[in-house]
Amino acid sequence: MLKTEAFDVEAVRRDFPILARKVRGKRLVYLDNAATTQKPTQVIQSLVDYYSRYNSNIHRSVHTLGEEATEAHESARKRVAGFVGASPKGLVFTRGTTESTNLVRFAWGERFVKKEDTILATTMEHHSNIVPWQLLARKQGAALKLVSLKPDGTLDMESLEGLLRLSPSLVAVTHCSNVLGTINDVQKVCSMAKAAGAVTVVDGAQAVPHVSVDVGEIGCDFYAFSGHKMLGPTGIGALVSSKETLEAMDPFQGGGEMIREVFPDHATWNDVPYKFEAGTVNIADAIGLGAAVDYLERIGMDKVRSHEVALVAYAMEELAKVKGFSLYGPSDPEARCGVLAFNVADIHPHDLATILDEEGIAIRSGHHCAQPLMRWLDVSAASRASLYLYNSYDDIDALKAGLEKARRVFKLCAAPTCTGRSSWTTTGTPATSGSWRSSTSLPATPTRSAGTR
Amino acid sequence: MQIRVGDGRTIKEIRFTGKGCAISQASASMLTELAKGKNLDWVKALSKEDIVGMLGNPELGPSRIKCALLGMKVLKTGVYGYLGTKMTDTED
Ligand SMILES: Cc1ncc(COP(=O)(O)O)c(C=O)c1O
Repeated sequence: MLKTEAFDVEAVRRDFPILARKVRGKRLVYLDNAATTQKPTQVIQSLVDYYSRYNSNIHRSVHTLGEEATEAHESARKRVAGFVGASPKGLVFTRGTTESTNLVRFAWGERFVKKEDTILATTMEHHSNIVPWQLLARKQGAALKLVSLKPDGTLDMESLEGLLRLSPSLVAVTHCSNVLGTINDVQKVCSMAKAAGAVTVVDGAQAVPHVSVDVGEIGCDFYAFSGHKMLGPTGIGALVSSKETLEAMDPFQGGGEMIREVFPDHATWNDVPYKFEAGTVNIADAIGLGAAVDYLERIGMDKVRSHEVALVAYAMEELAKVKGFSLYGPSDPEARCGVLAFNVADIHPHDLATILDEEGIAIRSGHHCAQPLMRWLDVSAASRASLYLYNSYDDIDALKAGLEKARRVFKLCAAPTCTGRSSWTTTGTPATSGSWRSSTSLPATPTRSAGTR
Repeated sequence: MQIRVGDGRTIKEIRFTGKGCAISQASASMLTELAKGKNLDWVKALSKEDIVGMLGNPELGPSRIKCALLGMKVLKTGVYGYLGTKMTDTED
């Protein structure tokens, strides 16, 4: 397969000090980018600069440091908003995607979702785009329903159409799945939802870092994402909406800075987005996220994307050569973001991750905060390798070699027809008496832990 | 995890079914072998150190130690439930 490079990956790697580190004596192969990404020197330096040169509270201090910090914070807001095609007045800084969806739950949901309303989410959502809606539904006496998926791991649009007939008040959907890698046609979902009278929430946690996003084009009411998954610091993210929608909502948290005037018994609210930013905000990390956006824009999101598509295509081809490898999600590399969730025969993902760690390779194992999806896949756990702009073809080769090593460790046979051992279902001390045996409900044949869908 | 208790306090028989990683399955399996014939107070007194020692003191990080302790946790929960007393163990 042709190995093309959209930009100088080696030069990019030099911007990330952590990539020079050794793990267990090996070169670090970082393939856990869907969990969090590494930070370039430019982002780290923006934090050092802030704390060593102009650390100060914002919006309230009129001294020089206060003005510099306010200027830097608001400039970051403009650049981050611009990065996703939003207006700065419509961008609320939050702790991340989870706080953003919860903000919608409280400030919009508790005001506008009524008893017996329907709320829709999808089967592929991260817990942060399901659990807040479960809680909201419980509080308001509404019902939450999940749009089902097609066998290839894409949204079942017929299921969506059917559920939209219930006239839901809210439709929540992820832009990219953090397990299947599926990139959803959120523009279409939002226009269908809007036609049915629903307000839309899009989870952009896995999209903003990897594909060019324009919230205006998508046509959603709310768009949420996290800074730490796009080269920025932890503890900062955003909720994007329109000025009008934000103005119609209740405040989220009460306190300083979110008010206009406070009387003994009531208060009036500050302009948006400040109405939703109570207390001293995360100034440094917002500035850091601004630096991350600058970094990504300098490389170009089109190039980031084409690099990832090329790597995904290469990985799908190479990893498929590992016996017993089964990948979840769409088969077309163009239809997915840089997330590859898989199982290798019946090797438990935690064991696989431990074996790979010995080789300096970092992947994620477990349920990936998407238990409804794991249930749909009929697996209890999966391994996940997720890519970003600093990953190289060498990283994929290292992963493949690591998977082969895991097969050797578990002594899986090499015959082409052999996919693995029968199972990890294990029984302890054998039963001795007949009645004991019949009183238990042990499966006669071991159940397989890995599905093949 | 299933046990048969004789004379109100001795583990006469013990077995388990499980699905999970190698550490959790190995640990649970070895525990069933150790526990056979022991009395319920022995189960109550089991500690994290006992399990790690049983496994041959492998190097286990904060995430994988949970895998090793799963079997013990299940057994203890069951025994406390059987005795109808509250489990006072704290997780560390
Ligand atoms: C698709 C998706 N949504 C939401 C989240 C939650 O993001 P955070 O933990 O930064 O709030 C994640 C990350 O774990 C994710 O992958």
